Amino acid sequence: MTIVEEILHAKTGEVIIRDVDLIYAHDGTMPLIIDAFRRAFTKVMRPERTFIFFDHVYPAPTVKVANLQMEIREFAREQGIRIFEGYGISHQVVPEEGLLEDARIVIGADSHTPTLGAFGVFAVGMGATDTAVALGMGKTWLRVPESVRVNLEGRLDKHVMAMDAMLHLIELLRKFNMNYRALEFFGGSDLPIDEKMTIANLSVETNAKTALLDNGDFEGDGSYLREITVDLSEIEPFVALPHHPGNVERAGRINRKIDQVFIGSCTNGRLEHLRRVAEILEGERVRVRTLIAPASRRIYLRMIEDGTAKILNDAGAVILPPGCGPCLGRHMGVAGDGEIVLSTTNRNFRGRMGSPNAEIYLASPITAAVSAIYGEITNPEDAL
Amino acid sequence: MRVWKFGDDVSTDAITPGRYNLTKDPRELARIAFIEIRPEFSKEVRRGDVVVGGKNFGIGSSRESAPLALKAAGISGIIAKSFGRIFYRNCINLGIPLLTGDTDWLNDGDEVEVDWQRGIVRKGREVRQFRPLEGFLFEIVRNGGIVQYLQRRGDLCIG
Repeated sequence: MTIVEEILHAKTGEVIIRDVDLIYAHDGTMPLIIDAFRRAFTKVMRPERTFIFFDHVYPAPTVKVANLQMEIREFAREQGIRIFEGYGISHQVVPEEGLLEDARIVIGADSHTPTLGAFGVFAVGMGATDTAVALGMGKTWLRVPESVRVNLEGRLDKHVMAMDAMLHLIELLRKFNMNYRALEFFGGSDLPIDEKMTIANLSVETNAKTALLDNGDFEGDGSYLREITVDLSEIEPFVALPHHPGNVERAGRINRKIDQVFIGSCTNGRLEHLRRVAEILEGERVRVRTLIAPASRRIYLRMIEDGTAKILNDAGAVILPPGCGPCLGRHMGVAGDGEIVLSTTNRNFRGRMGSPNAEIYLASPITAAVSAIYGEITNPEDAL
Repeated sequence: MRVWKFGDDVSTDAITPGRYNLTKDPRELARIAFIEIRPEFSKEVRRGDVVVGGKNFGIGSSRESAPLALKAAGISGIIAKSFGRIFYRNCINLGIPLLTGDTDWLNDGDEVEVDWQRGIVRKGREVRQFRPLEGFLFEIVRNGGIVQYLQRRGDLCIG
C-alpha cells in the first residue's frame, strides 16, 4: 500500500467518504465558510476539533477587514470554537500547540494545509464550501490519489536548504502531471522537523493534492505512479524566477538587483530557518529593505531568548509580527510597481505580493540573507 | 455564448488578486474578476459566457472568492485542459459545471454552444467531445451546488 492508502483504508482512484479528525481555517477563508455554513447548517459538529487562526491579514489593516474579523469572532463564540489570534500561521501553530493529537485526516481551508504531511497525517486544503460541509457533517468526500514516491538520499551541503531541494523537485515535476496526486517522501530522516515541514509545504507547488513524509511508520510498498530519487548532496542553491515556482535557475546564474527581501511564511519562517539567517547576518548590514516574520509567537519567543532577534534587528532587518506577513500581498510590505522582491515563500505568481508589475523571485532563507547583504541575488556558495 | 480564452497556469491570484480580495460580496467580487490580466472581462462578460483555460486553470490558493467571482459574473461554466484541484472542488460545490479536454481548438471571442452534462461543445459546424463531470460530481452541480444538494438529499451519497 501507499501511505495514502494505508491512512485512508482505500485503494487509489476510489471516491470515499471519511470522517475528518481536525478542521481548521483562517481569517482569510473564514468569512465565506460562515456564509456557506449558514446556508446549510446551524451547529458545528465537533467544535472541540475545529480551530480558527488569525494569520493572513492580522492585525486588521482596514475597517473592512476588521469588520470581517468581528464576524468571525461572533461565529466562533456562538459555536464554541477556539480562535488563535496573534499565535502565528495556522500550519505552524497546529503542531506547535499540540492540536494534531492523533488526527489521521485533516482538512484546512488553506492550500498549504499539506504542510502537516511532515507529521505523517493526510492533510488537504479545501475551499470554503467544502470546509463548511465538513464543519456541519464532520465528514468529507475524497478521491484517493495515486502517489509518486520520492527517495531522499545523502545530505544537504552547508549553504543548501530544503527549499533548494524542493525548487529542484518542483522544476523536475513541472512537465509531469501531479494534479490530484500525492507525493510520498522516504529517507531524509536526519532533516530537522522545521525542514521536513518545508518539504511538505512546497509539495503543493508541484500541484500535488497532498504530501506525506514517512517517519518510519509506513510500509510504502504500494504501487507508485513513479519513483524519483533526489540526492540531497547534489542540490545547489536555486532560485525560482517570475512568475512560477517551477521557473528554476541556479542562484549564481542570476544577476538581479533587488528592492526587498522577505524571509518567513509557512514555508521558511521556522526557528531553524531564522537561525541560519542570523548566522549569515551576524555583524553584517543589509543593503535592501529586509522583512522577517517568524511563523509563530513561540518561534518569536525563542528568537528573543537565543539572541537571533537581536542579530537580525542589528543587521537592519525589520521583524514583523508572527503570521503570513507580505506573502499574499495584502499588508506589511506590499511590492510596488516594477519592484524586485526576493522571498522565501512558496508562490511567485504575478500580482501575488502586490503590484502585478512587481517581479518575485523565490529562494532559501540562506540565499535570501546573503542577497540582502549584497543587494542583489547572490549564490551563498560564492559569497560565503 | 462567447469564449473568454486564457492560457496555462492561470492562478487564483490572477482571478481574484489578494490586494482586491477583501470582500465576500459576490457583486463586488464579480467586478474584480481577472482585473489585472483582463481588465475588460468584468465589464464585457455576458450571462452564459464560457471561460476557457489551458493547463492548471485555477492553481494556487484555496480562496473560494475566485470561482465565486466568476459565477457572480454570470459565466455558464469553465473548460480547460486541467484544473487546480481545490479550484475544481470549489467550482463543483458552487454549482459551476466544468469540462476537461484539449482547448487549443477554442479561441478568444468564439461563439459556442455547450452541453455541460454530456461534454459536447459546438462551434459553428464543428462539434467536439470533452470529459464532463462524473456522476456524483455532476449531481452536485445539477442541484446548484453542494449546499443545495445536501438540502435536497440530506447526506453525501456516492453511487
